[in-house]
Amino acid sequence: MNDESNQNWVGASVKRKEDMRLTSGRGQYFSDIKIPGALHLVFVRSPIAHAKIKSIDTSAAEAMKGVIAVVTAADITDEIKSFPQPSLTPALPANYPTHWPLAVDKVKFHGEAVAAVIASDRYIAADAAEAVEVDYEELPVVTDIVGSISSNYTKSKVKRIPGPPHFDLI
Amino acid sequence: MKQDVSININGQDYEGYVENRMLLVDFIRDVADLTGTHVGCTYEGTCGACTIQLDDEPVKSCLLLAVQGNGRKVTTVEGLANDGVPSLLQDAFNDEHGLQCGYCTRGILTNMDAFLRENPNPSEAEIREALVGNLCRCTGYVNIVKAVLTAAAKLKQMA
Repeated sequence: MNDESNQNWVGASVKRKEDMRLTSGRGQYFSDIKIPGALHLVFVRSPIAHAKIKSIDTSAAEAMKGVIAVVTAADITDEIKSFPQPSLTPALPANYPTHWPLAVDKVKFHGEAVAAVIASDRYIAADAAEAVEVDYEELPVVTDIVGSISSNYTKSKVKRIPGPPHFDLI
Repeated sequence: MKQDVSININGQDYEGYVENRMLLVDFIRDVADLTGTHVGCTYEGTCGACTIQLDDEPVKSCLLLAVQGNGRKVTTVEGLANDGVPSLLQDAFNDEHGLQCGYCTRGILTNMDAFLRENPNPSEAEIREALVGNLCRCTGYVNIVKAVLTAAAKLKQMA
């Protein structure tokens, strides 16, 4: 160990290596990456916080020129499994709610994705997303602490699924 | 509905046949392929990462249409350097650690470049007020303000 060379680095102010690139507008951030033929994805999101999804009509969106596909939960629940989100708290039973990328049967928060529109152009995808018609049946919503501790709120049931500890919010 | 548009960006003319509703930031990023200008807030005009200079005035390009730039001069962050030599402002940001991830920095640079032209001797309060349209999630703004003050001091030295 050379004591003299250590004195040069300890406590020294060292400049970063990336700043020249970043301040001149370079640097490949994720959305700066251009892949030829890449499509654009826009989600149709629920404007309602809690509702049953009665129907989703994607026919108008699918008919638009440049739209490659419009995907809803009905298209994926047979193809993929839901995503488990384990939440392990010591001394409490294991709680494993699951998560689907698109709302299945019910919307549980404002902004939850209900359908995914894939198109060749960003603007076409946005137009098609507006053309997707979703029929919602609104359900009661509680948005403050006072409401949630009163006796009138609807409690989300947690269903235990047979097998390893596994729960679903229904 | 589409129309022909020609915009001079950083000294070069870029032409396109674009929809009337195409945003200026999308023209800059997708048609002119200058991805230095960023969108940080899904086109709401909130974050300022899309700030460019339109005829030397700093503006948020997500709040303008490409057709509004037709025939006009746009300066983006890529155009702040002079023939490859970084500007004093860019140097100051490098020296004063005025950026971390750098995502918002390009909007701040184009804004402050125009600001220092108007106000070459700003106080810290004036800088902070001019930065009100630029959001930064990384730095807490302290070093950004320091960098602008350093750049202003250097400019004064050169004058």
